[in-house]
Amino acid sequence: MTLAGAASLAGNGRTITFGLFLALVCVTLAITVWARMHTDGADDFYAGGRVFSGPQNGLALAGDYMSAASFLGIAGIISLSGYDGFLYSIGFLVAWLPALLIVELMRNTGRFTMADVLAQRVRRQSSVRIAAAVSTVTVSVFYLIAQMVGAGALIALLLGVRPGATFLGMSANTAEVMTIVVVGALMICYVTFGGMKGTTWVQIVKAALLMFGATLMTVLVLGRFGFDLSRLLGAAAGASGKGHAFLEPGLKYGREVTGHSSRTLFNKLDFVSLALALVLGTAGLPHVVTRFYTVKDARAARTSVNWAIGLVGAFYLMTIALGFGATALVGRREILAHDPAGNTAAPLLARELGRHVAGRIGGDVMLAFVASVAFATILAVVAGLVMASATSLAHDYFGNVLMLGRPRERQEVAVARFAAFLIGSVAIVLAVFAKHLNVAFLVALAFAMAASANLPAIVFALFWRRFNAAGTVAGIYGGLAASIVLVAFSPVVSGKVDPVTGQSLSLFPRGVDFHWFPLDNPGLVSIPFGFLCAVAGTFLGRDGTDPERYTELSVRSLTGAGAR
Amino acid sequence: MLLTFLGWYLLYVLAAAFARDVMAYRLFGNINVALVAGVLQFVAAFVLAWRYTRYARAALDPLAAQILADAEERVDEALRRAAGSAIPPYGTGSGDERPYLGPTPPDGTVSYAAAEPRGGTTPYLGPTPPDGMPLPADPGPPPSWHRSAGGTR
Repeated sequence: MTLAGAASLAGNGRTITFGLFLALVCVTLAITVWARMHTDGADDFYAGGRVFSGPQNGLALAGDYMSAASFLGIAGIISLSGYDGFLYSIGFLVAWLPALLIVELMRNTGRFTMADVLAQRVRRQSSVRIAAAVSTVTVSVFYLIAQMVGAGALIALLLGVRPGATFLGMSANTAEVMTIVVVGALMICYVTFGGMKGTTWVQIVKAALLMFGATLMTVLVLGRFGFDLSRLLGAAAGASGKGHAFLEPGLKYGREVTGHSSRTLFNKLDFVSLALALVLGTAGLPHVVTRFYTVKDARAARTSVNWAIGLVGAFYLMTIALGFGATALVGRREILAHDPAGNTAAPLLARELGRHVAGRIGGDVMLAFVASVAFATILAVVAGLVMASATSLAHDYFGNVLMLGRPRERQEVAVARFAAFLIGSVAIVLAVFAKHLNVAFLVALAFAMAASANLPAIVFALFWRRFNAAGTVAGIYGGLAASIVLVAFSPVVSGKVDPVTGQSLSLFPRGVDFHWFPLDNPGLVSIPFGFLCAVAGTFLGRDGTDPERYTELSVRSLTGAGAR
Repeated sequence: MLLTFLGWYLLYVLAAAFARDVMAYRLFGNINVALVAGVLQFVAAFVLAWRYTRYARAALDPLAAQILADAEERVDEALRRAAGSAIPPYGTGSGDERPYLGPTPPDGTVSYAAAEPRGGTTPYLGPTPPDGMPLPADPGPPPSWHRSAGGTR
């Protein structure tokens, strides 16, 4: 069943899909070459010369933010678990409001990285810079590995590469490794040569493609149900085999376990924890923060976040139609047959819609188109992550710590290019090794780390007069360590067993069990802990506070004096 | 306002976790409270973004502009007072007499001129032009591109 299904998913569409993939690679590489010719100096490399307009940067922000996990993943979760997938969508959108409130302040006070903002509050900035660089690189690399492992499996799936089958003369396993390597090589290429300009344009192209594809599919789905949302939901509930429970919360998150009241409570707390991390993490994600600096002033930054809110909101509203449409039109069984995680729900829906409009060829073309949108999504997001961590390594660690704040511009940009190459290569190697592991939890962990480590430092630096270096460092390391330790001893790493199949759902195989923290997502505990560490560090730290610097930062964050 | 909104989001999350019966109540057709509440989150987010933008345009931007203008005026005035009436107000003189206006950068990295022997001491290190062309007098102040606590760009 699975094999036959896979063959039909690829089918004739494979040639078209592959052709579109190649076209996409050519276009993005052309952008990179253009960007390389127009990149000269640090402002260009780190911040795209700050020439992007608000709407352009808004598109790029949306392109940077909406990963394959949110496009294919959320459509898949909705198609399999119903309403609970939509809860994810809401979290991803609501997260932009805290970002909107700090974006202008950040844009006005920083130049290239988050650490620029933090470092202005302290007299000796090297420890703060190091802490910020450590946290930036950790968050980015974890997110990156999750994306690349996902990319390998996903692209193999979209191209119809299956165990036992061969692709261009390679076995399925080799093909998957090759996919990871090719994606990694492309992302290194974009960042090393194109810098922020190249990366931003790749993200703009991706966001435009994604919005176009999603809108087209939504209109087609709703058209099939006479533009009656209630009819669509009814059909989805009917096809799901779960009836009206499918349209209500509780199938995936916060599941009720009869007879185990504590287990039920933990499930629910786990869901609350996830929601918190999603909402508070976005404003601290390094690849989102570095994007704030690509526009000319705070007003443009505000406009760009407003655009991002509009685009992200519209997209996640459309996931309702995509997810429920996939259940109603494709059916749960077929989705499960292709991928138990549901990642192929959107491509399958595209094929079904295309087939309905223009027969077999229409189906193949739509499938190929949506597959290449997913491919573009993956490329844009990984490039953004590498860009953010390379910037932080070069600007914060090399420029401000090793070179004591006075490197030559050329030198620092060269280091940034090299750092991009280094981080990209490390990520490729780690992703190839982690290929068979269940690493989906790394995305949630990255959000939790961003919320627990970066957010306290940013918020206190901007709004708390007494905050100091010790508080910054304590907050960052405390939040980071709490998230990692809690996840290491949580069910996602060891001890979670599928009650039906008896297989391990954790990172470690069945039988290894050292978990004591009951929740999958550490946010509920680690975010308050991060804030607490920052407060404690501030009061215990020996370096006095510097109210003058706070006043200065306040004026600057409001007016942008010195940042333009 | 943000707190109200985050509270509303938290209420929604808690309701999704603990008030399943309410969320499952069907309003009309197959549309239930959960779906309406979810879509309302989107609406609330859009409204808040719009309200904030309006507030920022009406209140924050003029305030920022005023503070900046005040600061420049005060600096100009101080300059004039310090040098007596010899120096005309900024903009009418021959050169830019204004000192560095930004705050002192951290770590005492005041400027490149202090950090590196560029600028005044070694004006031009390149090869002598063949035709005896006069050397450029002063390459000007070094770029402040790197100063984290920004220069006046």
